[in-house]
Amino acid sequence: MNNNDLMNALSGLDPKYIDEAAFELHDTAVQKEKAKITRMRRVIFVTLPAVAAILLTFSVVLPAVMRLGKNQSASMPASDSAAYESAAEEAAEDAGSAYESDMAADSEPVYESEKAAESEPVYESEEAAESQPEYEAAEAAGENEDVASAYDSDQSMEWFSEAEKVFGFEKAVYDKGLLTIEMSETLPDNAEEVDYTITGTDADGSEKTYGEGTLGDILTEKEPLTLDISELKLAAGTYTLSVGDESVEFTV
Amino acid sequence: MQDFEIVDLYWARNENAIAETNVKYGSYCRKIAMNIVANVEDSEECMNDTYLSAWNTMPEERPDLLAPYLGTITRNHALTLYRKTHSLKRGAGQTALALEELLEVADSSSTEEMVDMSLLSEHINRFLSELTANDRIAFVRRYFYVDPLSEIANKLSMSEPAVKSLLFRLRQKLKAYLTQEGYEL
Repeated sequence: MNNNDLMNALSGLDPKYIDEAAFELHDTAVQKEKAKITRMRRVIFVTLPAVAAILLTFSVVLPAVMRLGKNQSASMPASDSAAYESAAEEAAEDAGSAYESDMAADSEPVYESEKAAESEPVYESEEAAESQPEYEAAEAAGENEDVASAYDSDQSMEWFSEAEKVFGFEKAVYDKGLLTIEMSETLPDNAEEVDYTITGTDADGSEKTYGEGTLGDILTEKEPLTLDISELKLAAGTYTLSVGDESVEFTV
Repeated sequence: MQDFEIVDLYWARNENAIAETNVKYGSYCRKIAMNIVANVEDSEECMNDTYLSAWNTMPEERPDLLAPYLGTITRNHALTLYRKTHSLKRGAGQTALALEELLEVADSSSTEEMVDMSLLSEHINRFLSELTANDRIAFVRRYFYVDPLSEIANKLSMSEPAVKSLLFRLRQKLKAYLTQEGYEL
């Protein structure tokens, strides 16, 4: 069989396929549908995670920040002046004047009311002077860091696992320096930042890396995913393209 | 006029059938002819041959979809004319390019094996049925309608290299499919 046979056989195409492709007679809705599917996927894989991140921020981070603010203002309640005075007397007995002036200077930013600013510090001991609010602030900051880092790692893990899911490499075909890859999923928007490696087996059987970098360095087309690896000047053989945890083999 | 009404005119041997066909599908068939023969005179000759074939085959035939029926007749006439005028030299037009691309799928020069055309068409149809609509349209526009890549890219809102890449993958798939079906390629 040759190309002319194929060309002739195409005249026997099912009429519904000929009609489907007849742009001259009616508009094709294929791309609109595809755009709709792409938009839907964009909503699921980009917008929903973003919304989840915002909700997480408001439900975890903001309350932690608000707790921090409350602790700072609650450190010196203005109402119970008698208790302050007795505590102040005790503190004055234990500490020298230098300490008192230092604590007064330190306490000014802490205490909001004028009376609190004039009085001796509340704290009974020097250890307590490394204050409750400061301790709580440090604790809250630590919490914030934990939350933030957990959030970041969750986000990155979520994206990474998203990357694992959305590439869906099925097949790679190499032709004249271009690697065309079939995927079962849509390429994510930030695919250009993903790292890749191309490995193969050396003559002595050991694995060798022939190329690595970010996809953006070699990406020429997103649909279909086409990578220009002509610069690697690969010899005939079988190689593996790895992106994240996904990989696909191709033959040069 | 609806397709069945035009077909009824052919069956009634009413000469208005040709005029109505020209009104509804003239530009559609003319485009197919021009894509293949790339020549106004030759495409008009194809159109005349198409109307004559339609007149001669209806009655007998009563196609449900008139456009593909007429489009196929036009395509066959255009290919025959193309081969007559390009038998001695390789053409540079879209038809030559499409034929060259199909060489990647089947390039057997063996003259011993006679290919059953209807069976081959059936296999190609089955192959097309497994593709997405977008891929199928790209394939049909390139190899049935012989559209240039730029037009296919424009209609499918893709870039030309993307269409080229897509068609390359589809040809590889078709080759693998036909090999699996037992064809010597």
